[in-house]
Amino acid sequence: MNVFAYLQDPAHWSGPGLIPELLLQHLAYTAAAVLVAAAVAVPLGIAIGHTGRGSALVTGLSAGARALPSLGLVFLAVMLLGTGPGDVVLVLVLAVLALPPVLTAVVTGVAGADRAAVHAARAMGMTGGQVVSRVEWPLALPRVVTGLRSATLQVVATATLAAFASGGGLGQLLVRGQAQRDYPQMFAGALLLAALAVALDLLLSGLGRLAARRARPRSRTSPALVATPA
Amino acid sequence: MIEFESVGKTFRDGTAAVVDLSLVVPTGTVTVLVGPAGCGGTTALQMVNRLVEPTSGRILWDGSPLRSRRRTALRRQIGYVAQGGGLFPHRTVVDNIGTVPSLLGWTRSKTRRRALELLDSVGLERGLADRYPAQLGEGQQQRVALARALAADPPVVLMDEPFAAADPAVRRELHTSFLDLQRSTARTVLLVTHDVDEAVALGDQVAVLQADGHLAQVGSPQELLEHPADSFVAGFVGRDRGYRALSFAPASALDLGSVPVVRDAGSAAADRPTLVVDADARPVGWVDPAGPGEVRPLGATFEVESGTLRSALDAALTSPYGLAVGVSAAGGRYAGVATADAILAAVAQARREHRPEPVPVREPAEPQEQQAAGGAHPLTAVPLPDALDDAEDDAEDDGHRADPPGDGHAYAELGDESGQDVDLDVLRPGDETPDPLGADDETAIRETERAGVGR
Amino acid sequence: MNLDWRWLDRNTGHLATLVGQHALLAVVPVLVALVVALPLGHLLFRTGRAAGPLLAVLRVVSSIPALALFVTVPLVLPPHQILDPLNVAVALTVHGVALLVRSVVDGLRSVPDPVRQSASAAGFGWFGRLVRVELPLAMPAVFAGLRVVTMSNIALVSVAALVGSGALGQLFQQAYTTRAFTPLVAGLVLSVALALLADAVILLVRRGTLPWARGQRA
Repeated sequence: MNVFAYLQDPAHWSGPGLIPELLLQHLAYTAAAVLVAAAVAVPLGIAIGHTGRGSALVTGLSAGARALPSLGLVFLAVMLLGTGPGDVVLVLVLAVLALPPVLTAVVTGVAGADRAAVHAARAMGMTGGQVVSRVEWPLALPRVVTGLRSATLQVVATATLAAFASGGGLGQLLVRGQAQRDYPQMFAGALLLAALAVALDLLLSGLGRLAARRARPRSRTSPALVATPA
Repeated sequence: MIEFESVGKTFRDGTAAVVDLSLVVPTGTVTVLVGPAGCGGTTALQMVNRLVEPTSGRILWDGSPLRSRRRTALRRQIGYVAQGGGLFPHRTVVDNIGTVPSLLGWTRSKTRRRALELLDSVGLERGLADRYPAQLGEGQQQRVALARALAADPPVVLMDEPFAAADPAVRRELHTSFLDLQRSTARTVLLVTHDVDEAVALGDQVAVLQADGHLAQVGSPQELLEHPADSFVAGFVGRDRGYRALSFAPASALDLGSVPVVRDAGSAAADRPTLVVDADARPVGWVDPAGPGEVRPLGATFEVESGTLRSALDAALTSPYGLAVGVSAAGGRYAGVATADAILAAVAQARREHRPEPVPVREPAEPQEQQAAGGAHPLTAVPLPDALDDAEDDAEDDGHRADPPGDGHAYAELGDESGQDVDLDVLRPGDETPDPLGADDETAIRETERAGVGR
Repeated sequence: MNLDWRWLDRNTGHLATLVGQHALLAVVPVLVALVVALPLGHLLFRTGRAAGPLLAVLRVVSSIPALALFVTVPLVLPPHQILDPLNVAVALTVHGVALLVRSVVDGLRSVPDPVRQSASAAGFGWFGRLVRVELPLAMPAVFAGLRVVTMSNIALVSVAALVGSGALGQLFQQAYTTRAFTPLVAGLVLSVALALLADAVILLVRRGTLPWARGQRA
């Protein structure tokens, strides 16, 4: 059996309900969910990380969230509320599942920003908001991007489940392939899913490196400020 | 005895950490490698227990090359204190200390007994034995690291900045503990530090390394302080080296004078410096002429039998009257006083009597140092005759002599007494023995030296 | 939402079986992954910088969604049946190895140099040093990885129900197709309970074996 058969058929690459549309749907779910999660998690995380209050909430939340089965939640939400206009329910469920990793990343990033730098900033007379925007946030960025990265991967994977809950996305290839006993179709779904996940991961890791370089620039011409061992 | 024979180490990325090091570490003595960051001290140290292998030259232990021994067997015979201690966080203090003994196959009970003994020797309570390193303070951790290195009673001990993390007070205690241990069992010790004071305090022999990995000079601490081979060593050893060298001159050389002594501050006449002591004849302070019954602070004191001229001079400088109060080592009882002038006179006397000790360990240094100095001036490469040595040092003291020694105010008071009431059996300003060479010659010598070495 | 208590009553045995299956399918891959990851991670650690590319490959593998693995593993594994639980187990093992190798390497790298030097200087050979010093000190990082992998496995086994055997996941599917809430809630509760239990067990084991690391966060 040629498992690549489905992918190789050009008919599958254009037209409704086929690969390009499904890919876009999947990306749309992912992007929307991550953006919603970030919209909530970033301000909340900054507040918690900057003031230091509520960190217990965050650790409890992330521990609890790991224990939740994503499939059960997706089905529950759809059973209770249907998929909603434009699959908004699905997006929201995905966002809720993406919230813990982003929140944890923002909190640890902001709280973990170079303490000496933050202290100096306060001492120089920066207001709380300035300390956050000029010092804590830039220094927190690398870790935040890492959090976004793992959240994105999680959402890409979970978004596949949407198709099983009457939604769209690459999962459709798995659903249909299973119903039609068409393994090449399922394989196509799996391969595209993997490719999408890897591509997004690489993209975000590149962004993460950029953020890290901005947070801690190290010019190649100046000698490293690390003491050479005697 | 450990011998470095033209040892060099160049790392894979091209850094030359150690260059052509030839050095002998005599058995049972402490050799300190000192230098600025990057001088290669740690690397040289780690070549002895083969954590690092030399890229050129070889190291011999009692005549046989290190390479001829199996590494693990070698290391079990050499104690090692890593930079930062390197205690195993996952093992208790007692287990840490017992690491090498248990590797050597000692029984558990013997290992534990030995570990507890060592806790005593390094000054830690036995109660800490079953704690984890994270539960100890830094000074305590460093002591445990030291105990661990000594556990199997190794003949050789390597120490890499063992006391670096401690604050000065703790460090002094650690130095004392270390010297006591070394006194009770003389081991061959090689120690790396960046702190010149530590090198001078602990070393029987000090080797100064340059930032590029070359050996600049090796010798006894006193020799380094008094006769630095070149301007690098002089600069590294510090501008206070003249003052530091006073640590080697005993205070017992001083002739002490006396002052009136009272128990009750109110009972003394205010016309001369009078010392107030307690019931055990320990000095408490000076009678304050301004307020009847008031006591002025004592300042520092120096121990007469075991102290050094450095501590005596410090006592003189901190005393309100410029009079150093000497006390007995046992009991701290008042033993007499000395003026700063008397102390400086004693210094001059000591220098006249002092001859540099022959340093057998000073290997073929001459050609080495000449190369290192890059065509050094003949004066620095050849041992100077005593007279010229004195001249250089006296030239520095000229600067000191120009300022009124001690508290000018105090001397004003003494001057007022015109010597009749103050019963001081000491030399006065103006009584110093003149130096053999005139001032002009001294300046000339210094300038040629500076030009010749030119670093 | 009313729970059908009678359904629950009738199916207790079935539910218990599912929980057992679920636990097995989730935990066994973790243990196997650990056994593989320890030597592999150590090897990569010893290789130093040259290990970079291989670690990058592993990172890519760990970013592949498990569902994709569930579908593609049958290709390389007899009996080529997607529904076979073995596929799930193998896929989760591969996934787990990719994650745990990273934990092992991070853990080994976290051992401070002075500690490693002291171990060598005391006269430990490379193996003794590894077993008595480096691995124990790497364990906190490994335990952190174990927690993540175990929890994610428990969630992923449910997902496997979509394309094959998925223990408790079957309840979710059943609930969705029949629009019945009771199996769904039962599945959720049991799943969460299992996850929390597993996490507690791991933490207990960690506490027991790493008494020196108690102050540190997992």
